[in-house]
Amino acid sequence: MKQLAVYLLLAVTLSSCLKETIAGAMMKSETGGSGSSAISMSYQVNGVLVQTTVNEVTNQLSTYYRLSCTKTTNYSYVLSFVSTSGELTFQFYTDSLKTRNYVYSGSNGTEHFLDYNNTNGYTRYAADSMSFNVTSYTNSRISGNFSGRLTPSIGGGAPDTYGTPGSILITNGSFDNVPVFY
Amino acid sequence: MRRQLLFLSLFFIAIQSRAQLSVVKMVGNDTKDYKLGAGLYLKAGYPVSEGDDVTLEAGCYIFSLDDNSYTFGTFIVPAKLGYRYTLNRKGNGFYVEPQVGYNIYGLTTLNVNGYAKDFKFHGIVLGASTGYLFSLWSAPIDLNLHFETIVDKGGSDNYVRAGLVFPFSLKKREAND
Repeated sequence: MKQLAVYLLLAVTLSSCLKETIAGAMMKSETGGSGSSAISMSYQVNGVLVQTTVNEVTNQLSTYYRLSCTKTTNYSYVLSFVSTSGELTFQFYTDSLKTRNYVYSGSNGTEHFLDYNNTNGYTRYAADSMSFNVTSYTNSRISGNFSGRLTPSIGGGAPDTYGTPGSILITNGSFDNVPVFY
Repeated sequence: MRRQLLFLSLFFIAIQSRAQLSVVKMVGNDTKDYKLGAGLYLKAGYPVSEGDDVTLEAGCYIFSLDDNSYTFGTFIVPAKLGYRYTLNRKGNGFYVEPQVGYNIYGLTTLNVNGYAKDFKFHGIVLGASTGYLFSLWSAPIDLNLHFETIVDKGGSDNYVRAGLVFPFSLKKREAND
C-alpha cells in the first residue's frame, strides 16, 4: 500500500508536467496543430531587448490581446505589441493590408508609437519615422520586421515638451504569426 | 450567469450538508492569468486500521480568468477516492494522502477571436495531500495542503488547495488498548 501511494504521487508529478492546459490542448487539436503555434515579436529600444512570445491561449485576455493587428475602420489597421515594459503600436493607413513596406514619418504629423518603461516615443520631427515591413500575410496572420527613430516626450499628460530629437532608436524589430482581426 | 447560479445552488447544498470551503489556485503552464479560485467539497473518512483511512471526496471549484467576472474561466467537479496514511500510525498528526478519481464535469470558457468559446472535458484526477490532523476543544481539525491534476485530451489542469476543515468520519476509530 505504501508503494502504491508513492507511485500515485509520482504519477501526479509526471502528469502535471504536460505542456498545455486541457483547453489549450483542445484548441490545438481543433486547429490541426496550428492553434498553439507561437506568436512573437521582439525589438530593441536603444539596444535593450523587448520581446513577447505567446500562444493562442495566452495571447487572448478578456479585454485585449497581447499581440494583434485589428482592422479598426475601413481605412486602417492597428498593430499592437504589449510587453512587460509597455506597448508599441503602429497604424496601417490602408483599406487592405498587403505584404509591403509601410512608413510613417514626422512630416506626416506627430503620432505616438511607443510606451517603454513609462517613456513615450513620438514622430515629433520630420527626421523621426517608423517603418513596418509586412513580409507575409496568410491565413489571417502577418509576419515581418520593423525599425524606427522616435523622440521622447517629457512630463505626463498631453505632451508639449520633448526630449532629444530622434533619441529613441528602435532596431532589429520582428514579428511572427500575429493574428489579424476584422 | 448560469455558472454563478449553479455555484450558488451548490454553495447552499454545501452549507446544509456541512461541506468544506477552500481557496484554490491553478498552477502550471498558461495559468498565470487565472485569479485565486474558490471551492467547496464534501470529504469523509472510513478508518481501515489504527493509523489509516480510506477517504471519499467530491467537490466543485471555479477559477476566474483575468477580471474576476467569471465570464471566462474554468469550472470543475472532481470525485476522488484516497488513502490517508498518518505518519505516527495513530490516526492523527501529520499525514500523506494520495487520491485518484474522475472529473465528473469540466468546463473552460476562453475568449477566442473576440467570442466566448466553451471547452468541455472530463478526465482522470490524481491528487496528493499532506496535512495535520488534530483536535481543538474536542473538535477534529484538518489543516492541509493539496495538489491535484486533471488529465484529459492531451492536456492537464493543475491546482493547489489550502484548507482548514472539520473532517468527519463514517465510522468511529477503535480505541487503542
